[in-house]
Amino acid sequence: MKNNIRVQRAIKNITQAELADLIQVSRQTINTIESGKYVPSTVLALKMARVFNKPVEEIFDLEEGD
Amino acid sequence: MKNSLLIPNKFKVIGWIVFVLSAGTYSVTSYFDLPVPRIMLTLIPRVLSWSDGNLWDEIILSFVIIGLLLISFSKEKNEDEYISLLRLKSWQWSVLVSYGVLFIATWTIYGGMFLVFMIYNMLTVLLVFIIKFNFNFYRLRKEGISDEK
Repeated sequence: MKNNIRVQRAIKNITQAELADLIQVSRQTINTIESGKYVPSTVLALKMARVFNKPVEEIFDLEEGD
Repeated sequence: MKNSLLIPNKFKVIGWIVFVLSAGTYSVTSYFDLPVPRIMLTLIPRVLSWSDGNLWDEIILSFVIIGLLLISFSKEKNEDEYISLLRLKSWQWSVLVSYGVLFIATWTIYGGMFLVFMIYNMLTVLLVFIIKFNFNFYRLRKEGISDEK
């Protein structure tokens, strides 16, 4: 699964740490999600969508093979 | 995702203290062959006749197990779903490795030595888990520092 959290963060101008605080996870978790190593739970995806004020589909995208 | 089996973070320190004290006491007394206190309790039936009736060993082992369990099952300060995943992966890895070691030992260690090995092997799953999980956690923290923003 692909995501554009890095871009969304840049638009909103917040750091990984700030995003992590907003959705109550560790900064390392944000880092692993951004680098595509970890696919977050639906709860976390929805929380991020709420922070960025965008639908989940605009942040996360299915890849071939998913 | 709540993991109800986990206990608060502060128990990790307590676990380490209990483990180091009990394992240390056991190692020192058995290595230097020091006299150990005799703790007798006649309420417990002596099923096996070769037991000397001293509960010292039982008490020490209980503390070692309690210590290791407290360390293994206490939350990290910032426990979240990714850390839970790391935790589960580490358990999986540790069970596999432990049984791998046991399998090899079955075919390479015999007789009395196997018994001695099995005594230590009782704790392998927990020890391997603690090492593996902390290693993964350390690596995760180091990675995170390198590419902020």
